[in-house]
Amino acid sequence: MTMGVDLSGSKWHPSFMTKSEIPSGVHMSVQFGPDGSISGYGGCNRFFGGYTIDGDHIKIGPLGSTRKGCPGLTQLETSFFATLEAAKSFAQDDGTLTLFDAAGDKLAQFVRAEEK
Amino acid sequence: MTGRNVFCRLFALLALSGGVAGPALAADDTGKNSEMIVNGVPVEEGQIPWQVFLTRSWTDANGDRWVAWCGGSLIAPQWVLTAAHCLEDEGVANKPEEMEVGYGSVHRSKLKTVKIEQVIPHADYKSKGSDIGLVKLKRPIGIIRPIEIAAPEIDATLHSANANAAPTYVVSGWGRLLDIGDIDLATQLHEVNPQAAQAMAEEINSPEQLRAADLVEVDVHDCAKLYKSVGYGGPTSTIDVERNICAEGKDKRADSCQGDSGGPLVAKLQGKFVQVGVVSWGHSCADGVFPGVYTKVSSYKDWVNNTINGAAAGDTAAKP
Repeated sequence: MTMGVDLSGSKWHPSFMTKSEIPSGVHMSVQFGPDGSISGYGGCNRFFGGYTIDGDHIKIGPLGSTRKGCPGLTQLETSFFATLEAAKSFAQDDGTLTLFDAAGDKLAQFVRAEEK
Repeated sequence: MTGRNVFCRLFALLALSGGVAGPALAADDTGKNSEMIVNGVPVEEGQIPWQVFLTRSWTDANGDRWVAWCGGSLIAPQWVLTAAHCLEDEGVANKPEEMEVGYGSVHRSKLKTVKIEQVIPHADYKSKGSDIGLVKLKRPIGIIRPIEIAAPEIDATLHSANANAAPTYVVSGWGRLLDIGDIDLATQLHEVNPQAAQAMAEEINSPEQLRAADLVEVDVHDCAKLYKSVGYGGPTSTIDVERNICAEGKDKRADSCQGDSGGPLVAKLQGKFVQVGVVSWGHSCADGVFPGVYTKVSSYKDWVNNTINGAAAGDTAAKP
């Protein structure tokens, strides 16, 4: 596993979150832009904001989002945004990205999106 | 926080969000009656007749059913204006057969419905953030007078009417009543009284009655600077002075929220309402720092007219 490599230009789908189960039919993604912007899809709304990386440390957000209503997805989406904003460090290998909180506990794991 | 404190705080918040004298549209041109709005006041029948409720219901690959909704405005008997992001998911346009429009009441349970013939998100949404779209209904709604959308000269008039004061607007929708921090309170309440928590969460997330809030325009350059300062800047989150309006409550506590997307932001000019914006996005809701971001309708008036006229002439690929 490689620590602190550049995430610029990569896109990921969450496969696991500590705080919520991810229904398999729900589309969620996060993309790290080369300009320090982050964007993605929370299952209902598009989200966006900024991110910075210093070694294996990462800071994401504050995140904003579009304002659609999705009654069955509110909790999941809220957890997803909160998980991203809570991340303090990360690790990645070719196909997996893992986010950790301040205590070093795993918050979420992602699989790399296939290039289109 | 104790269970009792959670109850007290939630009830206080719900009272603040609903227990006021009358909706913003009842106010006169000076904005009286509106300064107490927190996350909106209930709207009475007939006050915002152009408001519609846009829903999409679909089944995913696993057979699970989902529902998403947005607001919109009737701008012609057979046309609804909304946000582009209400008409697509991850760049794929929604199927018209999965969607319908509710109209004719401020109560969601009393809405009449009409099917959709065509969804037209602006082609530049993903590349340039043109968060605007049109829905063509299967049949015209003849009983409601559509709202006029602002032309560029109306925007100029709004800004020159009083050089010392920012224009004031009204936003409306069936969106979330409280910010997500308060919804966390409902989660805590769940441990104390699951039934009450469920009912409260439903009313917070999916209010039955349409609400409206008075907003004040925020200088769009300041707004763009504020969002840029914390890293916003991708194609769908860059605030463009030509394409966006920023607005917030007078006390920074009123805002649109999740479920209000696509809904109308209107101004009252010479006794008549005109639509100036479409609910688009924001950081949190009414957090006291970040204003809500709206699509500036006047910048797309030609696109709207060309699209509607093009559709009437059989050209469904009308260009901006």
